[in-house]
Amino acid sequence: MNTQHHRRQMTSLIQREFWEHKFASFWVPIIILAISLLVWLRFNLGSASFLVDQLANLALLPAAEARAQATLLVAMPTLPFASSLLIVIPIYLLMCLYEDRKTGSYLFWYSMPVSNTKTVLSKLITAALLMPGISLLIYLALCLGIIFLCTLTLLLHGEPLTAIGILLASLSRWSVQLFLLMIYLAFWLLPLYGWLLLISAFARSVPVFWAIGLLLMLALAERVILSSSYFSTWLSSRGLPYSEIFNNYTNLFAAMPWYEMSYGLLLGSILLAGAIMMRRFPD
Amino acid sequence: MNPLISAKGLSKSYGKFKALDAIDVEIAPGAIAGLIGPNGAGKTTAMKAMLGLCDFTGDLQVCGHDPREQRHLLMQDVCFIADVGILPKWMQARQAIEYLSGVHPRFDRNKAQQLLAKTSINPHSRIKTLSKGMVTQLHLALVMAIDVKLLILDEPTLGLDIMYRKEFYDRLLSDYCDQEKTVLISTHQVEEIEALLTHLLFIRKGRLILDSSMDAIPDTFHEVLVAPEATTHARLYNPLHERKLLGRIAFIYHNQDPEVLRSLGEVHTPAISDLFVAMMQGAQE
Repeated sequence: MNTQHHRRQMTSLIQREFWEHKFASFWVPIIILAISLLVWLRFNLGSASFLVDQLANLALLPAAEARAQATLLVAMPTLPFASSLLIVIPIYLLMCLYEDRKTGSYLFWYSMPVSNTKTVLSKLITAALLMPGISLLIYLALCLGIIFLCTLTLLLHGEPLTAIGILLASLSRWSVQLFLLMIYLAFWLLPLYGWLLLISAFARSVPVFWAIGLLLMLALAERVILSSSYFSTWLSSRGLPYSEIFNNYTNLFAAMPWYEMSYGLLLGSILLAGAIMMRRFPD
Repeated sequence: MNPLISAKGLSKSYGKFKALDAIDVEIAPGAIAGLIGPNGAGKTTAMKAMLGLCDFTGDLQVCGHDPREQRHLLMQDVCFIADVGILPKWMQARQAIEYLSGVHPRFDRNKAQQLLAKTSINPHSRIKTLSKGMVTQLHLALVMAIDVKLLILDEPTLGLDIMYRKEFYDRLLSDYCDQEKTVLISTHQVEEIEALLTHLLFIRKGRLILDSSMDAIPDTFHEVLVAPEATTHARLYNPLHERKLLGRIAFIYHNQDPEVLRSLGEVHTPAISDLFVAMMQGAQE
């Protein structure tokens, strides 16, 4: 078995995830793009002069202030994409291995010459990189579309295109930032992803009950037995990265808490190994 | 030659229920073996164990692998078709081909496309929109494009109409089976596959009650048509089974001297389905 074979298998496995979850990974962000575009048009189509004024004002601001405001403008449409991923990714991870076993086609998946490790990793890559990656590209398309419409409006009104340059610069900075954040989160959230995959590989029914129930039970047990709450505190701190990371986005990796990142990676790897072992037999 | 499948004391219990009870069996390369038994006899469990889909006790080697530990390596050499439509419902036929050509090193995409073109299946149709017969056709086309050593078929034609059933076995025999391919088929419709088989396995309540090559059947089993007045005499020779047939009584014997049997009446080789009934009922007593 050579690397080429492994790469080909992995590509096919991820492609399969994309086909099977095309609605969640592709159509949901497309729908968000369509709605966002409609909302933008609804507000700006009727009063083009207002838009022209806004853009002209942006061009008149001092450079730093203009950049901050432009960043705010391009960052705003990130919100619906990020919120949808917050729902889609955990559900996907929790259900993927469970459904491979529970639907009639488990015999098909299990009769393929694909190792459990590759199967579980393909699901992890789909959740941590493919789904957010597609959303990021569609978000970019939305922003570029809107900037293009702004450009047209300015041209029609014979105005200079200074604001467009500012917007594009902000968009490119923000996109790089989002891309880095995506990579960062793929590692930071590994314990969560590993946990969801483990439950998905192991639960015989209602995986969502197990995923949340076991964590609650652990927290409760700590409270009752040790009268402390380290576990629940740790859990809530782990859910999303510190707000400093969002605030200090100019230097995402410099602000990274190395110690917590590394034991998170260790814990995540252990949970992933558990998921791979649990996937061995479908019944 | 080393056997392709070799089991020693293969057992599997679900709680107190023994689905497989100390099965010993060897299947040689090139054999077309029928695993025949009533519903719930353990056919599917035996096949699942061979495919690494369930845990078990005892020894089991399939194509030189322990199915529990090396399922992904084993699956390069083994293909599997089950009665239930196991192809994913959301998948399109062309996606199934695409997927297999990515993950299976022995899959021949062109061959699958040629085989698919012989059917009326539209490559862009989703599997959930195909009829059961078409899903089986598609699955067979996929499997026939994979160059494996062992093909495991679990009631492959269950629920299909006679046209599809006949086509399925015709294709399997004419286009697929050769000296190098080994096939294990389970069914409870013996008569449909008896002409294909080179090896016969009867399973009942998790135990193998017959393990014989087809060639050995005429030497070991005999059916004798006995006149009604001679039945008491015929029963002295330990028949496995008796039944009324056109005014006479048909007795089935195991390992009896053909000379003695000829003195009782007309002797011939029993049909596999009659032998099946005889052994299943015989084992019950």
